[in-house]
Amino acid sequence: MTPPADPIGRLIDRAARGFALFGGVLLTAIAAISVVSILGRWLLGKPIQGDFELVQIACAGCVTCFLPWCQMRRGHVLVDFFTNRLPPRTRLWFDAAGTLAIAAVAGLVAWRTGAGLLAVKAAGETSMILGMPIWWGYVPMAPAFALLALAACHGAAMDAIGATRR
Amino acid sequence: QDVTLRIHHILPPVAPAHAKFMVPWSEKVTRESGGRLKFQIFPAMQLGGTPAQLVDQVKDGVVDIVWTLPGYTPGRFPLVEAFELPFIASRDAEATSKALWDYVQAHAKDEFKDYHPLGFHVHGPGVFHVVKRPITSVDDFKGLKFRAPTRLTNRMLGAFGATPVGMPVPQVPEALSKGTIDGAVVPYEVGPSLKLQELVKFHSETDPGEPAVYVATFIYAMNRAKYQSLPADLKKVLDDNSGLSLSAFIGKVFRESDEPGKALAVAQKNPINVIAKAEVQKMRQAAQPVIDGWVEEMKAKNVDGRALIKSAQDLIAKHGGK
Amino acid sequence: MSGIELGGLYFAGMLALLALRVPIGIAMALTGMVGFVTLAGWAPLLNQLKLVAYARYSNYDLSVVPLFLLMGNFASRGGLSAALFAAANAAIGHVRGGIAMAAIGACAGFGAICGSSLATAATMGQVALPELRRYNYAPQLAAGALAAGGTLGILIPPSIVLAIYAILTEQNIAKLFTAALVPGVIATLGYMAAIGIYVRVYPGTGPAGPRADRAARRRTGRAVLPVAAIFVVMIGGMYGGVFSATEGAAVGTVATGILAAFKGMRWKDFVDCVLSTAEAAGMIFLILLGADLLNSFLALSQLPVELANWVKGSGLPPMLVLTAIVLIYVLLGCVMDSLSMILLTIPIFFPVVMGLEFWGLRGSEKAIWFGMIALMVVEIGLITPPVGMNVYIISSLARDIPMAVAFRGVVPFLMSDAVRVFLVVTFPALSLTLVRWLN
Ligand code: NA
Ligand code: NA
Repeated sequence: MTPPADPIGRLIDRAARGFALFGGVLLTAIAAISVVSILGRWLLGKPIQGDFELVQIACAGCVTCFLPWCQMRRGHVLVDFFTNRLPPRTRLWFDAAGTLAIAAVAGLVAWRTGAGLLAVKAAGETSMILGMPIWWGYVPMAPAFALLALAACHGAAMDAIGATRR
Repeated sequence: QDVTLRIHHILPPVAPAHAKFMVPWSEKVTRESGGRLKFQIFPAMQLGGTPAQLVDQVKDGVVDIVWTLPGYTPGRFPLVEAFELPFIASRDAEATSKALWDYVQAHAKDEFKDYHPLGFHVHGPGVFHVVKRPITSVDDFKGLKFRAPTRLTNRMLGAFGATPVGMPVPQVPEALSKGTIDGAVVPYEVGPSLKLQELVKFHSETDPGEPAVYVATFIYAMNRAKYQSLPADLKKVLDDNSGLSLSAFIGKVFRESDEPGKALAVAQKNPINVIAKAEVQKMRQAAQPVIDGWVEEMKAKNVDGRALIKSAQDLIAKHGGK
Repeated sequence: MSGIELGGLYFAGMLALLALRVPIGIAMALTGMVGFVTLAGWAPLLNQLKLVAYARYSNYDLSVVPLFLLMGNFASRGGLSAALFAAANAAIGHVRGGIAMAAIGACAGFGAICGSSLATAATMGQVALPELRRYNYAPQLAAGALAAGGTLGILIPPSIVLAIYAILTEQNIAKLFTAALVPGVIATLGYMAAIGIYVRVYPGTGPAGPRADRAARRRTGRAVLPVAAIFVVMIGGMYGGVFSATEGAAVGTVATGILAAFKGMRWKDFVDCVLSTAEAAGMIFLILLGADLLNSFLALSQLPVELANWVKGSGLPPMLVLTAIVLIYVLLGCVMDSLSMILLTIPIFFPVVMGLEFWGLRGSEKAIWFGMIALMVVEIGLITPPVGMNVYIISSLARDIPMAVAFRGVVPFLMSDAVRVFLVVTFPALSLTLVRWLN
C-alpha cells in the first residue's frame, strides 16, 4: 500500500503517521514502566506505585492512535471470498460503501467518547492508587477516532472514483 | 404493565452476593409485585464495560440496577470512604451496613443524587492471607508484597511497611501461586472464589475486641429515571425491599458468608492466628497517618472529615456494632 | 421474539454485511449496535458508546497484544526470526513439512510465555509467515498452521481464558494450569501430525530441503542462542514469580529490542517497527471493539443463556449433554470470542456438568476435566468461519493470501482439534494425571 497521491490524502497520511508514532511513544512507555517496576519490585522491593493503572491509561491511548494509520494502509480486514469474482470496479464500489461505514462508526464513537470524556471529567473520577484523573485516558481517543473517520472518508472517496492504489 | 429490570454486577454467580442476595431479593420482589416486576441478572460483567464503569452504566440507564463498589471510582463518592478507613468499621457487617445506610442519608445523599440507591452495605472484616509467614505484629509486614483492594487499604499497607502491589482481581490467584505477591487482604468471604486457602499458608485475623482492619463499601443502586417511571404500586414494592432493611439483609449475607470461607481455610489445615490487642494498637498507630491524610483531603473539599468519622462510629455503635 | 430468533436474525444481517465487504470490526459493531437499540433503545446505546472504547482499550490483559507485536517486529528486524528458522531448517528442513512443524513448536514455546491467543497468532504470524513463504511452503498450509498454532497461546498455560474459568467456578488456578499442560502438548503434537499428513496427501505444499551438514547445524544453532536466552529469561522470570505473564510481554519486548539494537536496528528501523505494529494492532483492536458491541448485544438477547438452559432442561444422558455443550460452543464460536463465551455460558453449563455422572469423577477433578474441554472447544472458534479472529490476523499479515485460502488451510487443524477433544473427553486421565501426581 503506497501513500496517497492527492494533497488532502497526503495531509491525512502525515497526521495518521504522527498519531501512530505517538502511540509508539505510549507503547514504549508501557514497556519501560513495566520493566522498571518489575526491577524495582524484584531488587529493591519498590515497584512503581500504580504501574498497572499507568499501563491501562497508556494502552487506551496507544491502540486508539494506531487506528487511523491502519486505515491509511488499508489494514482493516474484510471478508473477500464472496466477492472475489466480481469485476474490480464493482468491488471498489462495495469498498467505498464499507469504508464509509468505518467513517460512520468511527465518527459516532469519536462523538460519544468525547461525551464520555466530559462525563468522566465532570464526575471527578480518579485512578485507584495514583489518583490520576481518569479522563486523561480519554484525551487521545476522541481525536484519534475522528482522524480515523476522516481517513475513512478519504479512502471511501478514493474507492468511489476508482483511485485506490493497492 | 410488566417491567423487566436488568441487573449488572461484577462477581460470578457462585458468589454469595449473587446467589444469596441478588437472586433471593429479585425473586422476592417479583413475587410481591404479583409477577409484574421481573429481573434479568447479568453476573461477571457479561454486558461489557469495566467494573469502574458500572456506576455510569446505571446512571445513564445502560442497565437498570447495578451492584458495585463506590471505591472502584475514587473521587466520585469521597464521603462514604469514612467507612473504609483503617479500624473504623465494626466487625459485624450487618451493624456496619445499617450504619452506612443511615450515614449516607445523613451526610452523603448529595453524592448519590444521580442514582436511586436501594441499599448500602459493607463486607466482613479484612483478613491477611499470606504465603510466607503469619502476621503477628506490625513488623511482620516488612518486605511483604501485598495486593490491596482499595485506595485506602493500599495506603494502610504502605504505612505498615508492606509493599502494596496493584493488580486486577483475576490476576491475584496466579500472582500468589507464582510468588509475584506474598499476600492479599480481603475478608474470608472472598476466599473461595480465588481459592485463597489453597494458594496461601497463613490467615491472620485481628483481635475480636478491636474494630475491623478495613471493610469495603458497596452500593446497590437503580437508575433514577427508571425508578420514577414505575407506577406507584410497583414503586412501593421496591421501596418495601430497599433502604435500611435491605442494607441490613445484605450485610447479614456477607457476615454469614465469612463462615464457609473460614471453614475452607480450617479444612485446609492452614494455621489461623489472631493478632493480639497490643499489636493491633501498634497497627492502629501506624495507620493513623492514613486517617489524618483523608481528613486533610476532606478539608480541601470543605468537609469536616473528623466529624464524619465520629458520626460513622456513633452510628455503628447505635446499631450495635463493636 | 426469543433471544435465539433475534440472535439468528441479526446474525444473518451480519453475514450479509460481511459478504458485502464491510470491514469485519464494523460489521460486528453495526450488528451489535442495531441489536442493542432493538433490545434497550437509543439512549442506552449512545450512553454505552461513551464508555465502550475506553473499557475495551484500557484492558490490562490486552496490553500484551501491541507489546508482543512490537516484539515480533524487533525479532524480524534484528534477524532473530530468520536465525530461528535457519536453525529449524538445518535441524528438520529435510523432513517434508518440517519447517511448518517447527513453526508449531515455536507457537507452543511462545504459548508458554503468553496467555493470549491473539497475541500469539499476531506475533508468530509476523515472525514465521515470511519464513515459511521463503522456504516455499504453500500459502494455505502456512496460514492454516499459524492460525491454528496461535490457539496454543491459550491452550498452553498461562492462559487468560483458564484464569477466568478458575474464578467463575472457584477452582485452583495453579491446578488448572498444570492440568492444561498435557492437553497442550497433545495439541502441539496433533498439529504437527496434521501437517505431516497434509504434506503427504498434497505433495509440494511443504517441500523438503536438502539435509544440512553438521557444521551448518552448529552454526545456525549458535545464532539462535540469543533468542533462547530471552526465552529462558521469560520462563524463569514468570515461573520464579519475578513478573506476571502480562508483565512478561514488556520484558520480552525490551529484551528483544535491545538485542535487535545490537544486531544493527537503527532509529529509522525502530520507526518502521512502530508503524508496522500500529497497522497490525489497529486491525486487531478495531475488530475487538466490534466484538465487544456484538457480545453486549448477544448477552442482552439472552441467546447463549437460552441455548444453555435448553441443554440444562433437556434431560439427555450425560454424554449427550456434553456433546450438546461442545456443539453449542462450536456454534457460538463461529461468531463470539472465547472469553465472552466462557463468561456467558460457564455459569450455566458448569453446575449442569457437576450434577451429572462422568467416568466416576468427583468434585474438583470433574471441574478440571470440564475446564480442559471448554478451553479446547472455545479456542476452536478462533479459527472457524465466518468470524475467526486468528485467521483474520494471519490473512491481514499476509495480504497476498486470500482469506478463503487461509480458512481452507485451517481444515486439517480443525480435524486435529476434533480428535483431541474426543481424546480428552474419553480419557480424563490426560487432564488429571499430572495434577494427581503433583499433589
Ligand atoms: Na499460554
Ligand atoms: Na469462529
